[in-house]
Amino acid sequence: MLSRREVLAAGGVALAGGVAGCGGSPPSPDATFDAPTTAWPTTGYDPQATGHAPAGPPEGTVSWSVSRGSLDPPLYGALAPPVVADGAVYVTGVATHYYRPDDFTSPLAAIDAASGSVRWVEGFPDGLSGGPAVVGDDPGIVVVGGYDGTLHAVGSDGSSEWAADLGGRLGTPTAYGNRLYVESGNGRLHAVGSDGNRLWTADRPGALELLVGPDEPVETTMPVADDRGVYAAFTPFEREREAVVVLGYDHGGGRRWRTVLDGRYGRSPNGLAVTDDALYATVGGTVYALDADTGKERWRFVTGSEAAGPPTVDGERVYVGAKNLYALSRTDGGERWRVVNEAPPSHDRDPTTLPYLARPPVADGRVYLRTGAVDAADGTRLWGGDADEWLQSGNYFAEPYYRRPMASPVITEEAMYLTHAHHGVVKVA
Amino acid sequence: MTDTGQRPTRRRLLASLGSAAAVGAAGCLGTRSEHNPTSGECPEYDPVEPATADWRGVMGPTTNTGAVASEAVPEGDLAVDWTVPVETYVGHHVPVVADGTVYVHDMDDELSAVDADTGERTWTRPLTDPEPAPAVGDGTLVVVTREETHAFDAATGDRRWKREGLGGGIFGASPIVAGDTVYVQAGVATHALSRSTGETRWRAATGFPSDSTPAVAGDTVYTAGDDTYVRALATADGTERWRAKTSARIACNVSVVEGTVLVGTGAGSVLGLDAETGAERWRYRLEPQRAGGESRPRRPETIATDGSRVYVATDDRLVTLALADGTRCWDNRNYAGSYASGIAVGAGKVFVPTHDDSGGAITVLDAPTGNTRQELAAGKRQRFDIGPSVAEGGVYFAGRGAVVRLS
Repeated sequence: MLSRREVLAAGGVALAGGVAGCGGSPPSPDATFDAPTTAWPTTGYDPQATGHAPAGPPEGTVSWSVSRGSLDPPLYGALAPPVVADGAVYVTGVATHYYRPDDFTSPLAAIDAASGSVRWVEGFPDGLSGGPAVVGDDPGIVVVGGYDGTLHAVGSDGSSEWAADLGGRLGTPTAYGNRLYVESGNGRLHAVGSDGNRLWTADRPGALELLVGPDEPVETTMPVADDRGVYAAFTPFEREREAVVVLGYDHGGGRRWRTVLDGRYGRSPNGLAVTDDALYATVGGTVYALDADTGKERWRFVTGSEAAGPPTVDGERVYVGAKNLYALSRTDGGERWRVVNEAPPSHDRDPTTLPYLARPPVADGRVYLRTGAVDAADGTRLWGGDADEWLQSGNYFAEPYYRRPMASPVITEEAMYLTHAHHGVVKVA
Repeated sequence: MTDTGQRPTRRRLLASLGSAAAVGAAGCLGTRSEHNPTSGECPEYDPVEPATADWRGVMGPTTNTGAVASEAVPEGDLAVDWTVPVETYVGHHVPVVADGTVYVHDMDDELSAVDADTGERTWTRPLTDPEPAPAVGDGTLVVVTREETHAFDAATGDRRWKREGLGGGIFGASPIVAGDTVYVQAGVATHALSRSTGETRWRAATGFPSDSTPAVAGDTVYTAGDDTYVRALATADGTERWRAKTSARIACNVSVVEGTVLVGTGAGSVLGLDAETGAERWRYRLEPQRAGGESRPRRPETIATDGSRVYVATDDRLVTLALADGTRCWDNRNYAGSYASGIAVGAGKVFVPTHDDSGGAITVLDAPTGNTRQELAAGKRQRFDIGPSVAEGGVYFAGRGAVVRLS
């Protein structure tokens, strides 16, 4: 197996400073995360993507909603989970199989969190392929990944700050201190400064892909980061027998470990979250806990579903929407409770209920689900509901939402914000 | 209730088998069965004599053992008694037998009752899209269709009740009638319905569908499904007594005997669990299927047991394990698996559908050794691919537009 350096030389890939893997200790980025109570700055809340915020709303009803068609360009595409920062809710419409980038302009919208008024909408004719991330403070910049491999940074007023051509369809970035980590659809992991300067690119693992592999599309998920490094996962489409590859890097781009997870059922990398002791990964419908230092499997929990959403984690439990909403023991993966989802086995039987798949935010002993919350200790419903009446009034494809969340919530201390497949952007407070 | 086999009378079949077993052990002659002779590690064959002589559900008794009393098993070589045409463009499911009547549907638009002695139809009635095998108990016949669950008077075919929305599929779980309750796996829940009215007594939702026919023993119903768990629920109110996590979906029936719950998972494992606690007693990993350099789990599709052995059918073989510890005893690689192929066992014989040059056969195996006692090829008028059911001195199959009785 070639070393990273040899491969980089052979591939003729020029990297800024050749930082990655060239010996010496990797730079330690400044990564203070101040755990905001009025913001949800990245898709996973924090760099570790725990989805665990210090505070969330005790209850609420619909405060405002912004319909998809009321914007210009409209808020079409698959709606990524929102992020909230600097008093604004940022939402992207992602190009997909149904919204092909060649005839679809992806929107990035900024909506005033207090009033629901639209501050601005930017259209990206080449298509966006992931959700937004906010990096920096007062105000931060909004970074989104393009279908064409361009990472776009937009100021809080909607003006372009910078664009970095990384190549490959980009997923959702995560912010770690003053840098961004984002994975390409070709399997490469990029570290980019908040000024748009590319710091390093980690190649896809495996000598064969490095030397001869075309930039074939793979499935990726948002990277997560902690003080030890950054973690990424992808599925090579071409490799039937190799399910999902999970990688641990240091902050210089040097690989610490590589683990292959077979997944059961399905083999999509659906999400990662890292804590002091473990990296949690959902692959297909299986939840894994890996040793974050070595990548070794600690436990797995097969839900029986083909799709599990990204995990969230608090002090005791891991929460995953995988048809039902599950709370699993962090220690051994044992099921502590579940919220049974009543959606029928196949979407054509009854399109008025759909599986739980969204990342479930957790705060104040509550886990947020659809338009309300359940008790984190035992899963009993505290308030709100499944928004089934919204589904019944909706005119949408049920089929894609058996694999993609119908509604994705995030929280601040006073409100819940959702992107909803039919109703656009909704505030519950 | 005599159909749960809770207080069986033990009987040493080995003694009664006499010279047949001795001949079998010396090697089997002139058959295609590639069995593995009993190894020294496999414990002595010591089956439990079941109480049931009829075949009330897809796997016989409510415990889904596929085992019947010796008196229900025909003696000597099998020959066809009668065939009755059950025309269909769709298929058949396993016939069920009780009180001298055979119940069968055509998976299309008709439900029939046939006299077990004469092969004459007692009654027929139209029924849209019946799917899994029916179940019968205390004069009530229950049939699950694509969209509904129906109950009929077993003697007359008159409708007793119908429940909309509780439907099933051809590969799905069959209903179970146990005491005054009907158990149906439908949607994402197990439903316990009143046998007389069809009203829901309780409902236990996992959030996942189940293709696994549940087993009822005493006051407990044992369930499994895509949820990956095996659960013991109180028959009275559905309260969960225990649950056991497995690593894959379970589509095979649950079976329970002698305080052991048996299941097979989609990952190719057969598990023996303590019926009281759910604790795992043993597990046996079926040899994976290899094709084109890939290895895939060999999936258990049907499980039967006679209280001494566990018979596990996959799509291409029958594997026999010791109930006590999961040791493999013998297997048969001619097993012809299909959506409704089964296993029946009684009087030291195992009845299974097998492959044959002519398109399928019934094979009678010697339970202690796996040796072939008889192999009977299908004919122009009937096939032996759907079934068997063994009851009241007859062996029943469906297939090729007919139901057949042998004895």
